[in-house]
Amino acid sequence: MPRFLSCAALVLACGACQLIAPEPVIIRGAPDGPAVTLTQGTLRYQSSVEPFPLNEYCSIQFVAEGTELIALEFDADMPAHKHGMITKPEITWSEDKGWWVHGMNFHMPGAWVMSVNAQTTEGWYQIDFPVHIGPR
Amino acid sequence: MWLSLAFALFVAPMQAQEEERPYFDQREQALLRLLTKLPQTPPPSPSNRFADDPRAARFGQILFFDPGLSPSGTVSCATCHDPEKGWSDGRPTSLGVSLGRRNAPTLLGAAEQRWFFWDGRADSLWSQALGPVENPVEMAGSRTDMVRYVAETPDLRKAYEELFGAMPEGLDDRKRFPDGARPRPPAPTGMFHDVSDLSMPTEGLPAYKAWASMSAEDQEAINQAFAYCGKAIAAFERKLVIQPAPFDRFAASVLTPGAEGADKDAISIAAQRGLELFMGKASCHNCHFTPLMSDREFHNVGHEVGVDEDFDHGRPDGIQKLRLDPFNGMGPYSDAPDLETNVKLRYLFYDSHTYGAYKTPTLRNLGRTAPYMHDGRFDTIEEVVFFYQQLPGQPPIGHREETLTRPRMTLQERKDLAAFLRTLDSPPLPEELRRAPD
Ligand code: HEC
Ligand code: HEC
Repeated sequence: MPRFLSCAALVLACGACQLIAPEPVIIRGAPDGPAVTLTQGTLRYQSSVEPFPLNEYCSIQFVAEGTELIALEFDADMPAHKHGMITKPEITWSEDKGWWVHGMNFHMPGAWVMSVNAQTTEGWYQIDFPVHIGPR
Repeated sequence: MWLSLAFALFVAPMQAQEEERPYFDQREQALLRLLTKLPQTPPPSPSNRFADDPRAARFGQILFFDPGLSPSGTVSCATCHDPEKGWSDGRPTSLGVSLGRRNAPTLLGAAEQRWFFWDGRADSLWSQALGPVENPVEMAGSRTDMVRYVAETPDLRKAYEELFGAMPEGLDDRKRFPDGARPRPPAPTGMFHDVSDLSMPTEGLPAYKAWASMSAEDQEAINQAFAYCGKAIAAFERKLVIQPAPFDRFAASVLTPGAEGADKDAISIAAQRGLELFMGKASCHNCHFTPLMSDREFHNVGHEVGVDEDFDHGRPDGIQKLRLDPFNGMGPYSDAPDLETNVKLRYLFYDSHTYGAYKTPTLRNLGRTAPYMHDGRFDTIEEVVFFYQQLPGQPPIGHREETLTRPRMTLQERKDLAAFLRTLDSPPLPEELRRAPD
């Protein structure tokens, strides 16, 4: 009996961790490529100011196609400089406007990476979007 | 054949002696474009609806040069921002009513900045202008005294009322409006607040008590009039625009040869090599870009501090003070307090990256604004260049930014870079901006 219980607990626990924390799918986008292919569908970003402006504020929209985006986290840094953002962007969602990251500022010229944690109806993804800001 | 030998022997060496002009490739041209497009007018200042009103600018100019704004009658804005000293004061740290701990920045191009002060504790030129009036080491005054001074000086009162309407009533009643009355500056509470900050003195309590004794309406009336004076001063400062320097004329010769003012000999060949270094091996452009040659943001370049020296935290303090400042862009005295307009304030980030960071200063007019850095620690441009090459020691707080890479420069290269930094001095502004108006 106790043996049976612990087995059940184990099965239950594994089921739970599957639900709560499955392994994310790690994706690295092409340099300056605004879209990546997910297990199902695609995720694409679009800036309110094209191309991304150097040292000015902008908003970034994330659009999922062929799937539904249900959660989004955003971060950005310059790996070469170990330098992060000077702003704390705000993520908003509304039915008509969709997912937006507001208050982003790529304040230094050079290579940046936008790191996005995206949850869709099918899976969880950690996506790096490398972007170049300013003159090349 | 003899002829070509003679050429090889005599003419070629002579040609080699003429210094080779550096060639600016596409990448360098793109960077150059970032550095030289000098704006003719400063960016809009939505929180100040008088920003571009010429009457406000004239009134502001009078205030700027008037030592009457300090109760001692000895210190004006121009004491530390002297037009004849590059709108700075030539001192390591400023001397007002007493000695301060920071270097006075130039005001040329200040309206282009995003944040004001070395720690960015003001988000507009007009709210910045209110700081020195009450800073105990600068003008050591109070908003109440300043507003009363304007009310009691007929010319000032007239100029003020034409613009902003009636001055507060009853200012001659010292019971209602006590001498020296000013509120206690909001105190940052974060982990890295600066206990020794001179803008937050522990003395001065009678002034705070006097302020607290005033009615809310009277306090409000004083604050409003004080803010208006700041807005007028800012309108004047917006006229202190950067004029093209020899560097800009040279840049034009690279980017738009034949354009008016373009001159490929405007700067020496050594300075041209220095410019290449600035955008190349030395990577100065990573932070000193835009025509101001400042990214208008904050970095920790890692200055050492002696054991017996007091150090200041820079940006983290500035962020907290700014958020608490009733004169910030979202406060009741702003002409555009909405969230949409105040993007920079709304998304402001306070984290460990800000420790020990100061605002990247403009490099424009460097030749006139020695000494350098927030505490005026370097007397010469050469010392600054040597600092970036060596990056000695460690900062007392935070960490030096990884963007700084100790570029290996020869003595000649350091001289070239310094020569370039000397090509950023503009001709002086018209005489009528460099003194009180008639
Ligand atoms: C006693 C000298 C002194 C006086 C008087 C003074 N300032 Fe300053 N000013 C300074 C110093 C020092 C700083 C830098 C202070 C800091 O960062 O904490 C500064 C900073 C500034 C800045 C910010 C520039 C930038 O790029 O961030 C502006 C603008 C300015 N002052 C305008 C004024 C005005 C307007 C007045 C008169 C109302 C004035 N100052 C009076 C010394 C002075
Ligand atoms: C990481 C960003 C960054 C880089 C890269 C950088 N600077 Fe700076 N610079 C700053 C900051 C921030 C300050 C103010 C620091 C302080 O006062 O503590 C400054 C100050 C200065 C000053 C003093 C100006 C004044 O008026 O006080 C000079 C000159 C200067 N830098 C030149 C250079 C040169 C030349 C290079 C390239 C070798 C360079 N900087 C690279 C950020 C940077």
